Amino acid sequence: MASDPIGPVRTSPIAPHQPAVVVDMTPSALDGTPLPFELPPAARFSGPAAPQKSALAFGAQFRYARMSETEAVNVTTAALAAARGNVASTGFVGNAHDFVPSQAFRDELGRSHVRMDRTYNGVPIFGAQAIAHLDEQGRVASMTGAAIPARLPLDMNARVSADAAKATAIASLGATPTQSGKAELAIVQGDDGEYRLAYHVTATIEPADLPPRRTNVFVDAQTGQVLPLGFDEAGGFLDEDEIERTRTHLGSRATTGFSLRPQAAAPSIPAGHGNSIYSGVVPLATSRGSMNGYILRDPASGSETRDAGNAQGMFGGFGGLGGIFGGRGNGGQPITDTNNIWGEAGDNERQRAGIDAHYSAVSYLRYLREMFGRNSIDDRGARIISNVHVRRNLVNAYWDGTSVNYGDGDGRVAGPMVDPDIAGHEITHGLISNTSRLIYRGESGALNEAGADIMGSAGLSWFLRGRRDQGIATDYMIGESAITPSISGDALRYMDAPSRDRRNPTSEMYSRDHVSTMYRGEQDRGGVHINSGVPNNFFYLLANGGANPTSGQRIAQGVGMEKALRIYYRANTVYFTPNTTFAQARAAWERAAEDLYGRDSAELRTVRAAASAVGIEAQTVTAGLVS
Amino acid sequence: MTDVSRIGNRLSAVGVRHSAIGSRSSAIGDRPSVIGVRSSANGDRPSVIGVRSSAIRQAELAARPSAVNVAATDNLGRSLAVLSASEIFGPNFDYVRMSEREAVAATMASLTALQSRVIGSAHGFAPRLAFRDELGRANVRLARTYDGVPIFGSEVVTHLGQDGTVRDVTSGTLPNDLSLDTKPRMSEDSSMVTAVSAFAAIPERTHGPSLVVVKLDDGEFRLAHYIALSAFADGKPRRTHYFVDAHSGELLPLTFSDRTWARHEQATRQVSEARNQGIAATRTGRDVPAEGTGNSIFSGNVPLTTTRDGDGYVLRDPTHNDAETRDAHNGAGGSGSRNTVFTDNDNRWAGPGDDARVRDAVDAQYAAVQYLKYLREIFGRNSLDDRGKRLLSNVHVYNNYANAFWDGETMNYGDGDGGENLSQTDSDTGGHEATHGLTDATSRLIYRGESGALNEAGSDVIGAAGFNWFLRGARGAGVLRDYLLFEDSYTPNIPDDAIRYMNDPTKDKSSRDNYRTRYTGSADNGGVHWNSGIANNFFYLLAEGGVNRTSQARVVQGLGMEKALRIYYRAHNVYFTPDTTFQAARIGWLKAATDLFGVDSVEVRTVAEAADAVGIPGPARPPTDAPLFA
Repeated sequence: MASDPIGPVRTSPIAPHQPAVVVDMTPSALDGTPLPFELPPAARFSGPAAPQKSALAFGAQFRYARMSETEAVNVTTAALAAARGNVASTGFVGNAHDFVPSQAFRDELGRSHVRMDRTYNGVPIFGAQAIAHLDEQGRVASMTGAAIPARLPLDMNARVSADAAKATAIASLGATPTQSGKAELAIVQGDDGEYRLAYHVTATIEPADLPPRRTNVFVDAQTGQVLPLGFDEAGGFLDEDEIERTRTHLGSRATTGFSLRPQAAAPSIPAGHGNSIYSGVVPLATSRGSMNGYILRDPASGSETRDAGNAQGMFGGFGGLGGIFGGRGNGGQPITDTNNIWGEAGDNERQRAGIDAHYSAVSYLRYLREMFGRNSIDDRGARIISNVHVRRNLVNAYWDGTSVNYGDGDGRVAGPMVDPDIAGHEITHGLISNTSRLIYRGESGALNEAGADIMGSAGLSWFLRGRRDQGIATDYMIGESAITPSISGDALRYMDAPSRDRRNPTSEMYSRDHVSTMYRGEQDRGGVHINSGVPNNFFYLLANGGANPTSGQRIAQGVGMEKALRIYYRANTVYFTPNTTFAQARAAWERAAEDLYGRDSAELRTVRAAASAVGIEAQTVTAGLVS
Repeated sequence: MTDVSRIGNRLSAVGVRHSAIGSRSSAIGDRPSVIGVRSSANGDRPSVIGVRSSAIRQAELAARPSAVNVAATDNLGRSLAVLSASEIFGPNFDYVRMSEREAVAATMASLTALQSRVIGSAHGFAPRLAFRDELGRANVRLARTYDGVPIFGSEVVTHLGQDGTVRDVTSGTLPNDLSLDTKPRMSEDSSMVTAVSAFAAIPERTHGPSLVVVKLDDGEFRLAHYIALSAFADGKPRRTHYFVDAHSGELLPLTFSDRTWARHEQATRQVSEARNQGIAATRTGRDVPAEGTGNSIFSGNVPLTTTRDGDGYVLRDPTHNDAETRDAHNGAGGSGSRNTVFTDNDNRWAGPGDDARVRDAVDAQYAAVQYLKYLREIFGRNSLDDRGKRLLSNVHVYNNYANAFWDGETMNYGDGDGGENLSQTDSDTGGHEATHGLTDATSRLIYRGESGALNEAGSDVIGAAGFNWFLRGARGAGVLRDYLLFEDSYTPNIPDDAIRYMNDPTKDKSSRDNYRTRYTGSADNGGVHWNSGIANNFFYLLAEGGVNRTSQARVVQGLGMEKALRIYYRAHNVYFTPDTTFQAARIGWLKAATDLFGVDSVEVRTVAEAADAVGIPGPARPPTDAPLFA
């Protein structure tokens, strides 16, 4: 497990009131060469605990993974120089455009990349990134990033104060937030393509009977008006419309409700195993508790599953905010068992949901490691905290930024929300927030949702079945186990035929499978759960082959789940930026396939054919970061 | 911890230990507030006197040796040290016209005197301003607190004698027990949402939420979040103050808006186009021959001291605290970077060939500089804050904006609407608005209800009438024009036509001239521009004598402008608090006259007569005691 670069601070050689000579004294450092950048003066004497070099150089937000700090500083310095050089090479004079490194990482092929957030006159351009891709010699070989006009016609003097913008933002929410952040200036690009100076306000709303919402509001810094660009972050497996659609689907069908299958007698379950709700008898990574018995904690990763006790309010709230969960595993109660045989007859039935959740979380980590060589969602070994029995009869599950939270379902629309499809989907939102950070609105939001369906639900299901491609439809069905337990063969979403989720012929709210039929309205954050059908179907065609229902274009032979997953994962990790569009995603998929399988490979050809089949055509790419 | 015995040379034998100042739990309880002295025997580690709301804070202060700046000794003659005034009394504390040491001593003496009167209650005091007045006496303004929470607008002023002890106190009365839970149940965000919803415009600036105790008009006290929102809406700047109940979340009926217009829209008279003939001619500049002069709109040729800058001049007066006038380019004015200082190549401002925009600047600059001279020569005051605050004026604010306003930092003048309201840069407007800045630095009269009317009247009396008199050479009495408000820029071609009339307030058909007929509705922030007539007429009768139209009571002999002004200014500066009422103002006027002319003087008697004439009830002489509690 790589050390957290901002984590426990090393004893510093820099004493207060001594000149700060920032030269790493270890042999592996820069051979005593002073760093080729100016240190921010404030950081020089920041007390006895000096931040590390990379944070001094690039700011506290900077992270790196799978490389030493020295390498991170080197590649990032090179990346910054290349990005600035790219701007200068377009003949644009001045330094209005700049870059703030956010992440340096090494990929599964051993190559280094640096993500840099873009700024204009020092103000971040929301969602805009440049990614520098380095070769083995540490030189920047290529760059990903959209061209932004060299001069933005913007009045950079905000007329409205940050506090006033925040007041407007909070007032627009329709509910009082439990937490709210400071309004920060950002440049945002509207759906009309215009750039505006705005304040970005984040707030958390925690209704008693719904998943908490972390919402983003943008307020025009000149007019003070709320811009139609706000969005809630990925907050629930089901959005309200999907729950409604499922209810419609269920109709007046009489159901007996969901009931747990009886717990098996002890001899049928070996120690270290549990009788799950959805996956049969499963192995469980457990630890000895502080009292007698065992708890659901994986000793290898530290991942733990706990019982939130169906409490309202802060329980099941956002982990990092209330300090109840906070990824520290100190909220709720540990789930315990005396003999390490879980879910046997006589055990507390509340164990059962925990068995599924824990099995999914630990399996997910194994999936990331074995399939992608990735060490947890941040590639630095983050543990996964799972909370079950969140709130009361909650028909939802959600990633809260630090942990995954599962409701018990209402037994009718859904059973306990702990099946691996849901777990994989939600934890993958955590993976995305550590990599591409796709903005959860519009096309980037649909790519975020599709990423969670593809890498989380489809990928994890396939992995748990032993990585065998058998064209099994359930791999491409999302949420089939927990949703409408009284109806077999149905699911929440269908990657092979996305519009199968259309329950009401008069409603616009159903998944689309082709660019030409995309939803363009404002609901569902610009259709993140609806337009996700387009990349979902792309993935299905890529992996399995088949025909797109709208275009009828057929892919005779898929590349198989494993290759398709590796292509999708690589595109998301290395080439997607927060504001990636479908067209840019196609370029990313192509590059990922080329990296993995070569320029003349069948895999690359299949990527192109599948993308075209769903209507995502190649886009001419401009060379520069500014235009 | 030892007792205080000497601080500097003014305060002796305080002898207080663990006493309450602005306490949340006085004397007893888990969070004791402390006046105390830390002494150190070895002398190498500085010790502190700390007056702060908690003992924890004391320990924190003790760890900061660099804060020491005043030496003192305790009763055993050991060396002590005193923290800076702001470190003892908090960052909101300020002092003017005295040394820091004097400010600390006066404030400590005030706290000690007041604290002994609130022992056993949750009441406390948060010092805000120590100042020396025009008679050389020290005074301290202290906000009143309840369980540590400021009581909005409630203030005590202590008046110290030459011996450094408190000789008199000005205070309103409050119930001893407010029966109030001071722990808010509503979140700040929730209160902000309530305020923004009520604002019905998009806020551009906000203040707060800050937790306060407020008194409703029915006398009940509530815990509230105080929020101020400002915006430019419907063609004018606007700032509104809200109080949201911190327990129930309801918007309390205490909302008020700032003065952002000098003239209230009370005058809706028809003015024919013909009456405005000649405005264009007035604006056409004549040749200005002398260097350092300006061709003003309202005051003819005026001398201007400017600053040389390269080959030209900028409109900045280095002999008057660098008072400067800028072009807002029809933007929002204020301190914004888009405003540019006026320049001229020959120091003959608004001369032939000069940009017409300069002309308004000449008036604004002239008014600002003359106002500073007026404060210095008549009241011995060094600018608005008595500390030489720089006066910045912006002209050409907004488009056709028929108004002017003090925004807390700068003067801002509109160009007028081209109709009945001419350019807003006349001296009445300048003086009136600048006096709001003076009020902000002194009494901070809340711009609602009776205190709001007194705020307006202060601007009319000190800023317009007195200033007009000063501009005439500070001579003579009985000049009607002194008592007409905004007569120059309002319908300039109708003689003796004005927005407000101090000699006869009801002539404008809105203003009141008698306390018994005062407006008690909620419009105009509770009639701040209408009830100001009561104090305005009081002032007119005090200065000139005459008859109050409503009561028909006569003041036979006025005191003349100068004495009346000095009485009014002193009351406004020393005796008014943010929540002063007309009846409290009467006491303030009486006290001011007593300070200046003696308790048995004809001036005190005339104050009482004039106050009687406008119907403000009260004693004929200042009372000797000011109870803190009702």
